[in-house]
Amino acid sequence: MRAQVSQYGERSVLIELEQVKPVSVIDSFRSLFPKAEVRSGLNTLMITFPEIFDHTELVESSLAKVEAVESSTKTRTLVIETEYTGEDLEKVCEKLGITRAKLISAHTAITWQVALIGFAPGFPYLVPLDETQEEARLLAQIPRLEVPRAKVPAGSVAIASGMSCVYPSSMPGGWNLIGRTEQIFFDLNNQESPALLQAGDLVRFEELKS
Amino acid sequence: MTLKIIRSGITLIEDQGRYGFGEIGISHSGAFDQVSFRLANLLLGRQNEPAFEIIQGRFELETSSDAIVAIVGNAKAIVDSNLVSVNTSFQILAKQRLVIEPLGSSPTYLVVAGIQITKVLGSASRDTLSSLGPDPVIAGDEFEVDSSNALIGSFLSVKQDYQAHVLHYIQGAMKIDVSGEWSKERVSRIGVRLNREVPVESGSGNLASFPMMPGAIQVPPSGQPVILAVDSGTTGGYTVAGVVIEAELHKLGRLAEKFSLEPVSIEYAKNAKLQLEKTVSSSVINPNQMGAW
Repeated sequence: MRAQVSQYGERSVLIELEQVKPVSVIDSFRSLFPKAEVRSGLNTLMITFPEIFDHTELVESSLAKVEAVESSTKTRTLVIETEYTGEDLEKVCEKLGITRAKLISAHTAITWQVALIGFAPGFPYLVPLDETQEEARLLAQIPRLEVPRAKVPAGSVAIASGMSCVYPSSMPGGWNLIGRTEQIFFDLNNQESPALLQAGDLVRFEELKS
Repeated sequence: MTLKIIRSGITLIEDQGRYGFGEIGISHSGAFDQVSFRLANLLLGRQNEPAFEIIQGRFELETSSDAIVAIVGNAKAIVDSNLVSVNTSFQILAKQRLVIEPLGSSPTYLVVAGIQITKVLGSASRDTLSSLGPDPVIAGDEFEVDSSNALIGSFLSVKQDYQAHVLHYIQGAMKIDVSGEWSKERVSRIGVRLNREVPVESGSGNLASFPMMPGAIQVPPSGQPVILAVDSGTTGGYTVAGVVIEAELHKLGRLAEKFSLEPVSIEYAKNAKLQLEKTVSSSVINPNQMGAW
């Protein structure tokens, strides 16, 4: 496997992946380095070792042993019922020159994969499983908002830069709001696993007509 | 027994932090100055008792019966209008008024032995970015306390320095030079914003989000660096020029007005960590445990 490995602080390395998605190799890295913590970025993985040391050579020499899996039988798929009533829906359609129905069918046609949970507790960065899919290329034309909102309501479904997300709680945000869901994405009452999703999970959106 | 907050200043409740949840977007959080926090615990013979992190202003409390406390930081402490020594553990009696006033900008830690704080995901820390953990402390708050079996009369043999003039860091792969003299522009538990810009190539600095950690020296497209602190987000999309060594992360809360950033080797980071552990474990003296002389 081809990748750039560099030291990141005193105990971690950052791996920049060239052809594979982080979620497809994260388990392989975890089994190669069982004592380390492995976390994913959009195109990167960070491995944090318990001891202070330059681990770049060790990780570089292990790259040959890494096996990528597209999606395994363990992969969960979650369906999110969404009301497409977001504040930016009209503007997004206008920009793309398409109807509301076309936008909804594009967003619901894509199988999304959780690339990582970051930015805020339980916040999923969703990327199209197949980025070459026509619908994925269409939505990829929408950038982030020029001026982020000070407050985005919890449950907002949004898109930006080819990705989609759901805001697990109310927070500032710069993505285009296209819908809303009642689904809870972060629940502290579930102390075992408060985040609904984890990196690698698949997500489909389904229109809930109001 | 009940502890009552009379005046809060700006005060949070913090402990060692919330570890192992980075993968679901949850920051480490925990005491901004982990060294002062640990020393305050050790003075009481404890490890990870939640502390009041007094950031600013005057803090006052009263207890309904006797309690054992330890204070570590650059602060003045008063019990019923008598000045008492900080960096020690001592007993306050029922209805006595304990007042703590920070003397500089670094946080001060008050640990009350046996304080009951509800944990969230294994930690009693307030995460200011995600609003997780106990609410910020306000006047009128009450806490249950059971101070039995805590040490009294311990003190620190090594004085802590609350004016950090140097931060050492491991240089990152992206070649941005942040070494040299700096001033702090704004300090919070999320990050320390520095006072000037470094040259960055145009278009650099906006990357696909990747994992972040406290100590990372982020350089956004503006070129004005921010050193991430305990409550910083778990991922980010700005270039990282380097990462402050772990043995000095507690100094982010103790920075002098002017300080320098100096790159060091991983070997240096390792020795600094060993040295810090040695200092922390050897600097707490308890008179009752000094053995038969």
